[in-house]
Amino acid sequence: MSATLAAVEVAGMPFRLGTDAYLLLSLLMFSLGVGCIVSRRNAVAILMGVELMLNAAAINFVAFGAAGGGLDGQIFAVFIIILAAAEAAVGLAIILNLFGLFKTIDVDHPDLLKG
Amino acid sequence: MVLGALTDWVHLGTFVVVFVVTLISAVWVMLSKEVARAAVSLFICLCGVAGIYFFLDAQFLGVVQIMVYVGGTTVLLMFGVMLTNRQPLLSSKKQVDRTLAGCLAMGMVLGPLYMIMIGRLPGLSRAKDAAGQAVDPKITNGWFVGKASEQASEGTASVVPLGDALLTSYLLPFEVASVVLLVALVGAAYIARRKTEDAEPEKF
Repeated sequence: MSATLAAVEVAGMPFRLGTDAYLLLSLLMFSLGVGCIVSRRNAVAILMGVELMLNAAAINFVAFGAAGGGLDGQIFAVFIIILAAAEAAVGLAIILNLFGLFKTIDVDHPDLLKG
Repeated sequence: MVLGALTDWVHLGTFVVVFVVTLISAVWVMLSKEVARAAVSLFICLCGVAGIYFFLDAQFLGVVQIMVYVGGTTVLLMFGVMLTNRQPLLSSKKQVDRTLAGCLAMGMVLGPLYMIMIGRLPGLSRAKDAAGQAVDPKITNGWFVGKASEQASEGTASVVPLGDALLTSYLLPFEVASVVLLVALVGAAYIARRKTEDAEPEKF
């Protein structure tokens, strides 16, 4: 703990968090969302991965907005939240329809078009 | 002075806690076998993102995140899980392959994005002059900039300019977003409605 403090002070950087800390979080969340989309078979879980990616993008917007001053980043994040809500509602309706047709939401199962 | 240092440490420690909780729950969204547990993890993760917004002086956005995402979207996903979880997914033998593929895709996204956003690749790094100073001093790059205790706390008043901006310079996107929400909700209700018996959809 004190070693970290010393390192920070030796480097001449006092510690209010800069943009990179938030960028790291959003980066990891985005790639976890991609991994979730690729690895999941349940359609609802895939929607969850999309939500992770959208949140990562919103964090980026707000972090850059806070770094540059002004409110544009926050406004973009508000629109991202709005569109994510709409996306979740429509996606869930489609998934429920899929469940009504195939009695499963395994995304491997509906293969009528046979790619 | 001592109080200032203490404030800095509390700030940093709280951020690290929120960071780690958000990240671990995001990992669980990807890896947990039960979809219901993934939904709960997503709940925690979105709460953590709201905390991150509070750290970024975006209090209004944090509250909106909690109300819309945590209170709305997660509950919607939870409904989806409960309505469709009649039988468990069959044949989990390919699950390991899929997780490996997911990790591979994750790495392929993670590496280039790290290089671009945080790494210091020549040509891709942020604009700096010859002395290595950032060109625009307002842009606060790096892991640490300034002290949290010396930061001007004007965030509590950010709701008023946000509302002003939404109803002046961002009025058209605001209205379009409201129409999108209306259309999406009506469409969702139409798609997901229970079909009547006489209007049976064609069977596959």
